[in-house]
Amino acid sequence: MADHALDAAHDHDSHDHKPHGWRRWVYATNHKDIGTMYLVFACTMFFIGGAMAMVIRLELFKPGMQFVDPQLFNSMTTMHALVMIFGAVMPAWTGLANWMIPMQVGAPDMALPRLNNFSFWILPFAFTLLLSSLFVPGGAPAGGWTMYPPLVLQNGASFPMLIFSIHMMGASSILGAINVVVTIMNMRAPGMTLLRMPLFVWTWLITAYLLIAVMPVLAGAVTMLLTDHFFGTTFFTAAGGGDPVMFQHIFWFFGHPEVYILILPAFGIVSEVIPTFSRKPLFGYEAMVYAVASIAFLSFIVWAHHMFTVGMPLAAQLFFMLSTMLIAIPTGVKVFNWTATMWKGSLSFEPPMLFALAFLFLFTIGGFSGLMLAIVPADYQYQDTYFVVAHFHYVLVPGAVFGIMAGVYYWLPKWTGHMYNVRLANWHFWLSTIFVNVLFFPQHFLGLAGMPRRIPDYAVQFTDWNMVSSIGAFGFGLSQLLFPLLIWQCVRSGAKVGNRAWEGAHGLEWELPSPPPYHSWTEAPSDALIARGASH
Amino acid sequence: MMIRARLASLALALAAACGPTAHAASGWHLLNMTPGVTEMSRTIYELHMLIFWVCVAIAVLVFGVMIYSLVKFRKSKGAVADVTLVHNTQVELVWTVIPVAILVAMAVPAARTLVAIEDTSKTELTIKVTGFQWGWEYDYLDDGVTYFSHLDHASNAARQLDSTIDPNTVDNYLLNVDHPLVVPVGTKVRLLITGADVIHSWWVPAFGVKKDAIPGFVNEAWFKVDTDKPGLYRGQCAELCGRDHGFMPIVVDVRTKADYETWVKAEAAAQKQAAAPADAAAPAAPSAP
Amino acid sequence: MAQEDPTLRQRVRRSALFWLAVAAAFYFGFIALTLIRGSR
Repeated sequence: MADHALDAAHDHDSHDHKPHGWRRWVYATNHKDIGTMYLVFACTMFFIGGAMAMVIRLELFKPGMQFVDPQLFNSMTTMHALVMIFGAVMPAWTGLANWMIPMQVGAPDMALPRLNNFSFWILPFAFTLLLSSLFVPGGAPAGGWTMYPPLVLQNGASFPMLIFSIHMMGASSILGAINVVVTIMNMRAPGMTLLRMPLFVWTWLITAYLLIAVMPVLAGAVTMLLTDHFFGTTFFTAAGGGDPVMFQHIFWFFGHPEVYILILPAFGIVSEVIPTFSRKPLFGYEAMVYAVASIAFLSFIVWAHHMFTVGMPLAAQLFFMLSTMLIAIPTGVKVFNWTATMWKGSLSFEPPMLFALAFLFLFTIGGFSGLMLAIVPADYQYQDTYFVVAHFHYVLVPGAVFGIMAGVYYWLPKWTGHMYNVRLANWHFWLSTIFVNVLFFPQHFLGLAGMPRRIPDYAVQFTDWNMVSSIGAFGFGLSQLLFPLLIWQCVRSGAKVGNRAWEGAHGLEWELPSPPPYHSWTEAPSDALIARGASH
Repeated sequence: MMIRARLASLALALAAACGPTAHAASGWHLLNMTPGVTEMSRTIYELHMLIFWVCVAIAVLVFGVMIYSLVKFRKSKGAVADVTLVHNTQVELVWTVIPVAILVAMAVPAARTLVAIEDTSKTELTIKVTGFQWGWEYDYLDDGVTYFSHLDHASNAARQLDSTIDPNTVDNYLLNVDHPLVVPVGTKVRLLITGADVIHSWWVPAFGVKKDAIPGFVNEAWFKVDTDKPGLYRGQCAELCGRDHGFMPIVVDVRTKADYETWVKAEAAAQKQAAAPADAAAPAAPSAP
Repeated sequence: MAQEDPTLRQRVRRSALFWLAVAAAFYFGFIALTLIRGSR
């Protein structure tokens, strides 16, 4: 397989001929074309998942059932999560990895271009399958994205569609991750030592290791659900000697590293954007690398903090509480290092920096609520309430999604050779930041006041803050329409930019022209260029 | 048409919420956890407030430094970057060690509370709680009293998709049941919690108790309500359990010990009689609270 | 260009297959783990 893949890259070697029309995309082996397809796919899914969120917030605008049946509401929460996690955030990261990793490590392309094509093209099929389950008898999966048995087994015709689409997404992620690891470990330019790599490459390398370890675990878990449903096994059925809680252990063994898969590349982007617009090298580069590695390690031993209420032995609860609290230490190191990078810098506030700063403040708030959730006795009160919903949306929306936005606004001039409309980008930033807080901050109050999550209707005392949250949701959803508009404008027109689109930018990608040649580094970059890029 | 009518009603609701004549029981003040009515729920509340204030203190410090940097080190104000400032072992050691100390200080009271929560010894009354789609079954193991608890009729009628009933007019909308769980004050009540079909979770915030109801497994939880706090306490299922997950509330009717004794004796007698062969068909129903 | 280097080719192939094997091990490992736990 590897031979053919390498040949494919070789075929196009050194001449900038690209195939035209649909062949360029369907037979794509070029890392930039595949990266673009990943990003367009992610953006599409972001809006589909967002539309589902709008349905949820519309129904929750006031008490009483107005728009959807409770079953459809449950389908919406389930599908919103699946689409956003596996369809929007993860493909966006893979898209950015495809675009940036070869450029940043001094390689011409990814190591396995045909595998790259395959791992992208799995995704449209996986999501067509998943989304078409909305139209089958019994409706779309409605048991939550966590797919806990026995509830998930009550899904109708959508059940096998759910399982197979998860299998396909998993295969796509695993292959994509293998490609990233192989590229970083084998395709770096001579002189690009591991500790000279940009933080985005480092965080993606560690993310890829996490993916290789845990996506198969998810695949295994859903395979067992499938055999429980159709082939009479009883992995998770107590009546047959199985254990429904075992599924939760396996799921969260995948699920906790998964949340770091969603956030670690954002750490990488923020670690590149803040130094650029502080005009100062990243503070504590090596500490940052070690912090990411420790977070990744710890992510494997904290899974049961998602399930403190299932009735675990005291010792297990204490262990998972302590290991979870430990994560605060490397995370704190990262936040302090970003702050120290700005200290005595020369700061300017272009759109990527604005998104990185919002990330810094709002992700930290999500970190605080995470610390609160680690305290087991308090977690008994928080578990499965809107407090948890507020927590994970703070780390995923102004965390992961703003990280993606920062990355796109940072590298868009490099990709297109054009500067975008900064005024419009500033509008996008301020509207997003204001509305994301209007949307999610009141959910802390709702959770603490006792509103459970995943309910389609609520007691009347929760009305006021739910209305605020819904208004924030509609505002946030509408503001996101500026994003594709801005990108479209930027691709079509806009002032030309030089190699180094931002004054303070360092790294190999900024040594290439804007837009970069079809095959990034056909000649390995010189040691001097690498040293200039690795300014830490 | 239908959609437009619904949107219009939404607009009205919005106007009502924004206007000075918002509905009587405003929810704006609901910002925090409440201390509850058991010693354990108060301990949990204090733990929650402790970790909250620790987070606030760290936030003030960290956000303070960030905001100071954003103001002080602006390029537009002529700030020049000190590119040599990339590493400082002492500072890095400090911001690693201090968080460790804070975490240890937090972990100690949390662990102590957890040990106390897990101590289910010396219980005086045991009730088996079974979650099902969608309601609860309560079984007083020592007294021969068993009954089901569902969402009450008024809420159930109002929550239908095309009901014209305003939830604000329903008494304790979605938080009321036909037959509440009845327990005495000042008694360590042990719950044996299980599920009949899928996983549910029994949660009463005022008691600080949330425990999953898992089919095939029995979980334990306990609470002891203050002797001076009889009354009705409300909660909900806290684990997604299918279509009507949002419609299986929990109500606990906490009575004085004497009232409880009277109730449980009458109830046991009534259920015994109902179970007698003559009128086996009669449903077992507890007396109204 | 780098890809013409046969040793690099082999290294890329080996490391891809190695990580694929790791992924497969996690998949079957966790199913086996659940089976062992269930049959106890």
